[in-house]
Amino acid sequence: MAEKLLFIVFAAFAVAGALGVITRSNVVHGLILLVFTFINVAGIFLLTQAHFLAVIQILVYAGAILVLFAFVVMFLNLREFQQEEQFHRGQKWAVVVLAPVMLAEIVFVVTAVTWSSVGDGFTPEAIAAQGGNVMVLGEQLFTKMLLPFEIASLILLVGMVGAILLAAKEDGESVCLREWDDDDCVSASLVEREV
Amino acid sequence: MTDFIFLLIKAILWVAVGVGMVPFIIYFERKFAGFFQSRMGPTYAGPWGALQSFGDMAKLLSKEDLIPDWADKPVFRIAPYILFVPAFITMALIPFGPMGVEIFGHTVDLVIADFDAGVIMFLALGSVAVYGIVFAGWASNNHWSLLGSLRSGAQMVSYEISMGLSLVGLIILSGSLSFVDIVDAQAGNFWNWYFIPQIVGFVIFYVSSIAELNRAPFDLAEAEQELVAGHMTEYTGMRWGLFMFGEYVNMVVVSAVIVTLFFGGWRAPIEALNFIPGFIWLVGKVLFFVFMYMWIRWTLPRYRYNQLMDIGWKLFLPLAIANLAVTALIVSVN
Repeated sequence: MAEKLLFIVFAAFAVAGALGVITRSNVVHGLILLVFTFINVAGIFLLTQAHFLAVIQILVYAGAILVLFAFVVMFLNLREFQQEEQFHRGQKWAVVVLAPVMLAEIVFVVTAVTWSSVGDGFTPEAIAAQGGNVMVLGEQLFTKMLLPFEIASLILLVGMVGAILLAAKEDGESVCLREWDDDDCVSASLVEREV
Repeated sequence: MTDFIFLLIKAILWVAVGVGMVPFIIYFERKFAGFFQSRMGPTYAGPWGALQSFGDMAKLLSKEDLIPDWADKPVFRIAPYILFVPAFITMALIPFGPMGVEIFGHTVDLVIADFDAGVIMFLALGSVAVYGIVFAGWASNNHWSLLGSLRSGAQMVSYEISMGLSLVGLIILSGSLSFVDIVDAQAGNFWNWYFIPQIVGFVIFYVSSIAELNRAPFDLAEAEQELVAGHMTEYTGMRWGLFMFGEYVNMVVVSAVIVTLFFGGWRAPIEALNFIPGFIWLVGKVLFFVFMYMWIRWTLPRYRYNQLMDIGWKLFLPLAIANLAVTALIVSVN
């Protein structure tokens, strides 16, 4: 009973937060609501006894990735951005087409996958008997799921190298805080020395 | 039902101890600061100035709550709370006595939540607390606030990495992520505590925790000579008080985590002293580490920002990885 109630609370907060994220025009408000949504999703993970997943959800998504989002958002001058026309006009119509496609995809995947093969023998009791959530998940990751695990980390590495490559400035190129304002520009070598 | 009542009692006890300690810790901080600098510290309110914190609290409560006109008001209002709510959640993970104690005929575990992945939970909550400072600085719409919160955000994110890595060696030794299991693994006399085999990890963790708490010598975020008061510049009255309060609650909680991980938690240093309740040992050890924070704060000068980053990335990160490698090697050889 209590679990059901908690699930409803977490789910309602998560959905409300997610709706807030896409309806706020203020990016920082959206960001806070996204953190809120992630924490509520972590709450739902907790209710399914997936402790480790819940904690990683908070640590990686709410803690690490969104802090970087916050940095980027804070470096931009939002108050000027908000007054600009920032949305493509065609976006609305693209949504009308893409959203049903996405929904159809999700429905297809959920109905097509035979879930019994995933859940074999992993009831909360069985997991507790095998030494807890972290132990079982770790064993699975480093034995049965080793290849997907390594592929995922390789993809992350590629993303990281790509980001560094894009961000690297040639010597002599100038760095601007605001692109439209030339007064703010300083040479890249100066920035490097400062850092 | 009785389970729920005991849970409630435990939660109230922890919150009361955590919150109740803060005014006295602030008083002692000011008194010690005085002694370290050959001054008297507070002397007027009450005997030896002991009521100073309560006077300050009354003052903060009665001050006007100013919100700057250009501030982002909702974010400005919630930011102080984001800082100290994670601290209280961390408290729930700290065991303060053995499991399965008989109290009035009921078996009670002297911990609020024996969490499977407690150590990671602590790190996760620490990373959420960053938002309090980052959003406070942004919402204030003030150059100094923003610079302060950016500094503090970058600092906390950088030190989180070495902080997390410094604990991996300890986790390998104990074979568990649960605070309860880690304390149990340190049973016996004080030479079984993890600060001896994990002395490198302990030093890295302790220094990183000072950076995480934004205290001197790593208080770049509120360096008063450069940034007025950093993210707290625009805050007044009790909202400012909440930041102050959150900082000290965080200090108590991080000390409790250090004690639990490296210094045997609620266990007595010598088994013969186990007749004294675990809670007293825990609070005593926590107060010792809180005193260490004060000692460091009032003794060392502030680091420059590039020095801070150098320590975090070029010294602690390699050291933590080396500590992890050596620990893993020794454990696997044995």
